[in-house]
Amino acid sequence: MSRSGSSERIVFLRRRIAGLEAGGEPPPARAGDDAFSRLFNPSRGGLGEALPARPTDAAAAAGFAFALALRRLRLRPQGAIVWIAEDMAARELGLPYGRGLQAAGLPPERLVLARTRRPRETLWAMEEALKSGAAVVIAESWAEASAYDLTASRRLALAARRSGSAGLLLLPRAAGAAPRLASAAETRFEIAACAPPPRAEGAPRPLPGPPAFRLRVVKARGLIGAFDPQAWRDIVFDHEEAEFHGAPFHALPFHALPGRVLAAPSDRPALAPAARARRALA
Amino acid sequence: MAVADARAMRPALRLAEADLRADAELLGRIADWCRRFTPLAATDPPDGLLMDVSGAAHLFGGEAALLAEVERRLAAQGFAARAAIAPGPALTRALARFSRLRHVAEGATREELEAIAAGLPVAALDLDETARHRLDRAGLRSLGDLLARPRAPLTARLGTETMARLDAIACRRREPISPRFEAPDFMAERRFPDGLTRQEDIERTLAALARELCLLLERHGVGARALEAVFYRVDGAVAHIETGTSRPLRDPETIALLLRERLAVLAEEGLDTGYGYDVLRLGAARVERCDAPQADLGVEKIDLAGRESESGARLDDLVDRLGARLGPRRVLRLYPQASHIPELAVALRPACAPAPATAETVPPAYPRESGAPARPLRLFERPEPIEAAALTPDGPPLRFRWRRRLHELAAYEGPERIAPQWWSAPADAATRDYFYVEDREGRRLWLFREGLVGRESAQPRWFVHGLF
Repeated sequence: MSRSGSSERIVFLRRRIAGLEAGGEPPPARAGDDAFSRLFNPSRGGLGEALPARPTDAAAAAGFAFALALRRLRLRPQGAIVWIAEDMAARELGLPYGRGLQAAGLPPERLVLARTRRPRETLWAMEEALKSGAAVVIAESWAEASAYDLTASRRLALAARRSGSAGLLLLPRAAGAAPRLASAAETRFEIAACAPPPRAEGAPRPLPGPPAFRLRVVKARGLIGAFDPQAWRDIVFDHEEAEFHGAPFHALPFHALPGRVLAAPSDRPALAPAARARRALA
Repeated sequence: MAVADARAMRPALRLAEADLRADAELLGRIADWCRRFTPLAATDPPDGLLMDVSGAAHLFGGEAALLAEVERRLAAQGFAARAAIAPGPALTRALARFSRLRHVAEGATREELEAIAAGLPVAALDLDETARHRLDRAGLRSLGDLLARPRAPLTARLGTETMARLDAIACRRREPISPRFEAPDFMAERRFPDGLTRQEDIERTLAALARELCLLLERHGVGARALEAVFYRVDGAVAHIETGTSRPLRDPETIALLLRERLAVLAEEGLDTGYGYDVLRLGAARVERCDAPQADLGVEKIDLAGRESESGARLDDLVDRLGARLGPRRVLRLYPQASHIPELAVALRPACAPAPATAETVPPAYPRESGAPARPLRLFERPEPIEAAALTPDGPPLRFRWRRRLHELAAYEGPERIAPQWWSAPADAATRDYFYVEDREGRRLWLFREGLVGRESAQPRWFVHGLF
C-alpha cells in the first residue's frame, strides 16, 4: 500500500483514538449516518472515481456510478447526463441499455452517449462535457491506472468545480488499484459485487435482490478521517427513492420471497393485470 | 514503339509500370488544389483539368495574369502543364493541347471563335485511328476544312457524336463543367503571401473567417448546418475538414470552437504544415433558415445543467463539439422503439440528426415495481456465448462458464420467453428464454437460452446478453 492510502488510514485511526480518549463511543460510520449522507449528497459536484476491486467487479462499479448519477438527476429534473463509453470498455461491459435505464428511472431522452476510441479521447470528452455544465458526466475508460495521472485528474476536477457538474470516472481496467492511485478527485470508491446471503440447505433459489454494492471509501476530500479506507461496507440502492440504504442484506424482504414467478409480459401493450397481482401475492 | 525498341535506342531508359489509379488520384488532388483559383474545378480524365474562372479571374489581375500564375505554380510543383483560357471548355481543351494560342479573350465574337477553331488540327476531335486516317486521305487536315463543308454529308460520315464535339470546339454549343465539389453557398477566404505554419495562426485566421462568414449568413437570415474549411498548402497539398452542426449556427465563436476541434484531430493525426498554408477558405456547405433568437416562451427543453432558465442550446453545442472531434456517428442518443426484441427496443442514432418522428406507438417503460421483467443496465452489442448446463430443459443453468470464469447460480428470475418477430424474422430465428441471474459472488447477468429444447433445437446455446 502506498503513502496516500496509508495516510488516510492513519488519520482515521487517530480520530478514533481521540474519540476513545475523550471517553465517548467511537463514531459510527454506517450508511445513512452523517458522514455517508454528506458523501452521497447529490448536490455536491466535483470529480469522483469508481474502481472495481477485482476485474470481474467492473459491472458492479458501473452500476454504482449509475446509482450516484440517478441520485443527482433526481435533484435536477431537467438536467442531462452525458455518458462517455470507450470502445474497449464497451466491449468488456456492454453499452448503456435504454430500456434498463428507463426501468431504473432515467428517461433516455436525457442521455447523450459519446463513444470514444482511446483513453485520451475519453478524458478530453469528459472535460468538455464537464465544462459545458452537464448535470452528470459518466466516463468509462479502459485506461490503466498509470495513464490516468495527476494532471489529467486535476483538469477534470477543475472543470467540474467551475461548472458545478458531477463527474464520475470509471476505470474498469485499474481493478484493485484504488489505494495506489494518485489523483485530484474529490472522492474515490472501490466497488465490489455484494455476495448474496448463503442459502439454507435444500431451500429453493430466491429471486435476485435489489442492486447491492460492497464498497469502501478510499478517498473523500473534506471528510478526511470519517471513513476507514480499508473497511468494506455493503449498501443497497433503492431506485424508487434514489437512496442508498445500509441495512444488512439478508434482512431485506426481497430475498425472503420463497417462490418464483414467471416474469410477466408487462412491458407489452396488453399489460396483464393478473401478472401484476400474481407478483404482488408472491 | 515497343519497349524493346526503346531500350535498344536508349539503354539508360528507366521503365515504370503505368499506375492509372494513382494517376487519377493525383489528378483529383491537383483539381482540389485548383480550387484555390475558383470554387468550380473539375477533372478532365485522363490528363486534363477544367476550371470555370468566370468572375474569378479579376482577383488575380485578369485572365492573362491568372494563366501565368497557374502555369508558374504548377511548374514549381514539377508538373509540365499547358494551360489555356477560352470562352468554351471544349475550345480551351483543344487550345491547350493543339495550339500555340493560349488565351482567347472573353468578348470574342462568334466569327473570331470559329476562325480560331478552324486553325486546330483534326486530332482535336479525339477520333479513333481509322476515322483520322480516312479524313487524312480525304485531305481534311484542320477543323477549318470540316467547318467549311456542308453539314449533312459530314454528319453521315463522321457520326453525330463527332459533330457535337466539333460544335463544342467552335463554341456553337454550350458545354457545362461538372465540378468535383459543389461550390459552398457562402464562403470567406484569406490569402497570405507566405504560408502559415503555426497552428495558433491557423486557428486565429479561422476565427476571423468565421466572423466574416457569420456576417454573410446573418445578412441572408440563414445559419450553417455543414461547414467546410479548406487549407491550400504552398506546395500544392490540400487539407479539407468538414463538420456538421445540430442546429443552424451563426455564432462565430461556436463555429471557431468546432473547427478547432476538427483541427486538433488533424493535428493528432499529424497535420503537416510543411511550407505553410497560404490560402484558407471557410464555407457553409449547407445552410438552413435561422431567425434571430427570441426571448424564451417557456418551451421546455432538456437542459444540460437542469436549470430552467437556460435553453438546450448548450447541450447542442456540446454534441457538436464532441461530434467534431469524435465523428458525428459516435455521439448518440437513445430512442425507444416499438419492439419486444431486447436489442431492437432501443435505437442509437447520431445526436446531431433530428429526432425521428415515431409513427409507431412506443410503449412506455414500466418501473420495476410494477412487476415488469428485469432489463439490464448494460447490453452487449453482440451476445457472448457461454458454456452452460441446465438441470431441467426449461430451467436456468446452475453453473456456467463466461470468459473462462466459472459462475455458480445463487438467485434467479425467469424464464421470460421472447419469441422472434414471426412477421419479419427469418424462418430459423429461435425463441429466447431470458434469465436474470445472480451468482454466488453477487454478479448479476442477463442470460438467455436460444431455441426451445426439443422443438427448435436439440442442443440449445446459452448467451450472456447484458449486465445489471
